[in-house]
This record gives sequence, C-alpha cells and structure tokens, in this order.
Amino acid sequence: MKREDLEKHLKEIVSESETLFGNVAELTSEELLEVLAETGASPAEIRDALYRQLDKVVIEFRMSGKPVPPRYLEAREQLRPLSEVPQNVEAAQRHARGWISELLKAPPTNAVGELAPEFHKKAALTEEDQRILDEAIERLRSRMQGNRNE
Amino acid sequence: MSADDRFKDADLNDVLGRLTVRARQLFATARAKGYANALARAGVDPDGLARSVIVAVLEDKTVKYRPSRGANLITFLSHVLENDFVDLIRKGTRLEQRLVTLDSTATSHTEESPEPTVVTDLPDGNAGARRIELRAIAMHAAKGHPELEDYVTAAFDCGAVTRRDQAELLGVSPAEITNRRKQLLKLLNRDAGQAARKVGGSDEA
Repeated sequence: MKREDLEKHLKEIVSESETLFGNVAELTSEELLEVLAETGASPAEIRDALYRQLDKVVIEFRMSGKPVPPRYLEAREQLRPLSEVPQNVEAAQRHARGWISELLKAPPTNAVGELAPEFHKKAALTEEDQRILDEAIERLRSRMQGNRNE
Repeated sequence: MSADDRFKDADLNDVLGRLTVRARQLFATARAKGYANALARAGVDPDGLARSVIVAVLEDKTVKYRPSRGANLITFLSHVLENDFVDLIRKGTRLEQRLVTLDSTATSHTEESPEPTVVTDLPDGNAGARRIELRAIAMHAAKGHPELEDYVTAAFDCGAVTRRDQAELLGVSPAEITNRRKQLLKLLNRDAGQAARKVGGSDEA
C-alpha cells in the first residue's frame, strides 16, 4: 500500500469512528461509567491500573533522590483505590469523605423494602390481627420512603 | 501557570474514563477496517493507550497542555490520543511489512503477499479490505437490530452529528442514542473477535 493511501485510511478511521460513536464529551458521568463497564475492563480496574503506573513513577522519582512534582502526587491521590489508606492527612480526609459518601449513598430508587414479620404461627392470625399488621407495614413503608426522599 | 497548576482542577477519573472510551472506539473501528494485525503487532491495548496519554501530559515534555490556549483538557487529550493511535497503526504496519518480508523471503512488494504472518484475521496486505466503509461494517454488525440500523443511517446518511440531533431525528431520548452507540461498539468488538478466531483457528479472543 502506498504511504499516501495509508495516511488517508488512518484519517478516515478517526473521522468515521467519531461519526459512528459520537463525541465522548457528550456522555454524562453515569453514561460514561456504564459504557466503560460494558465494553471492557471496569472503571475501577482502569483507575487502579493508572494508579499503579503513577505509583511507580513516584517511586522512581524518590529512588533517584528528586522531588516528586505535586501534580503526580495529586493525580495519584485522586486515583487511589478506596481499599488503600493515604499517607498524608489532607488526602486521608478526602479519602474518608469519599468513603463515607459511598456508604451513605441512597439505595437505588427502584429498591422496594420487603418487610418480613417474625410470627411462628402466622396462619393463626385473626382478620383483626392481619389488619393491624398490614397497617403497621404500611406505616413503616411510608416512613422508609420519607427517609429516602429527604 | 506552572505545570502543577494546570492540572489542579482536573478530575482524572473522568478524563481517564473518557479517553479510554475513545481509545476503545478507535480500536474497534480500526479492527473492523482490517488493521487488527497492525494493532496486535504494535503491542498496546486501548486502555493502555489512554493511560499513556495521561502519563505523557503529566510528564509535560512531549505533550504540553496549555489551558490558556483555549482547549479544555478532554478535547486536547482526545487529539493527542488520536495522533498516538495513528502512530501506533503506522508502527504496527511497518512491523507487519518486515515480518512478511522475513516470512516469505520475498525481496519486495510485501503488500501483495497472501501469506498470513503472526496474527491473522482480515488480510491486512489487501488494500481493498481497508477501503470497506465503516458504515457498511456497522450495518452488517447491526443486522437483526432495526433500531441500530436506524441509528447508523442517522449518523452516516442524515448529517445528524450530535447526540441531540440524532435523538431528535429518530424520536428517542439522547440516553437511548448513547445506548445504541454502546451496543454497536460491543457488536463491532464481537465481530472483530470472531473474525480473528475464524482465520486464526483459535478459541482465544
């Protein structure tokens, strides 16, 4: 193949690819995570891989006795997996905040709370008992729903 | 502005994610158009290419990001990624030509050699394979999925470039457009994998 033909084909690959798949800047954060998870390694895996790569660079700087440029440290901290504890206070606080917000994240909106009454002889309940039980379940459900919406 | 200040507000998780998606799109397109051998020989995967772009911009030697010049970080790095990707195919193509020359003990005209070399799928030596339009490949991949066929037509034939334009044209939500793009990416990757297995006679992806 001639060099000019190859160059023309390479340009076509880049432009046709954008025509078919669009501009990545258009994706929302949620869509981005979804596309990543469904088309290859998960977002956590790709983040961890870059974290390890930057960690090596930081170690190389230190081994050679050179100061580590702050941008490397900042980038590494941003990518640090939640399972690893940061070494400086500021990063540790940021890490903890991320961890807590992950824990406090509201459950998916379509999650329905299932209540399971602990009765040994549920079959023996009278109609009145059943009505009281149903009302209690309803009250609990609406309270749970209220908490979720706050 | 110092090199350190330029990245202060950058969300690296987001940047890495977007570059990785773009790299996966480019690799899928190139494989579909017959450059799978060249990419395999270059020895870099899409996720690795995206990482290397971020490492290079942080290094601030070969890739220098200057926010004062107007481009945002994602746009700038997407261009860097596309250039690196093109270099990667050039490198893979050169390696392929060397291998074919060694394999066939031919002295010249490697592009005409019908002999498969190390990795085989579409015949990279055949220039015709590379001229296949992505539109046709995408249509083939979308066969049996009318909604995807509609999307390919909207993207290639109706001049709808942005997600919003395409959504309007097809009467669906922008999120549905993203969903269709994602499905096409998966289908193209699947077809490229199947083609490689068929020609290579191996079960490995």
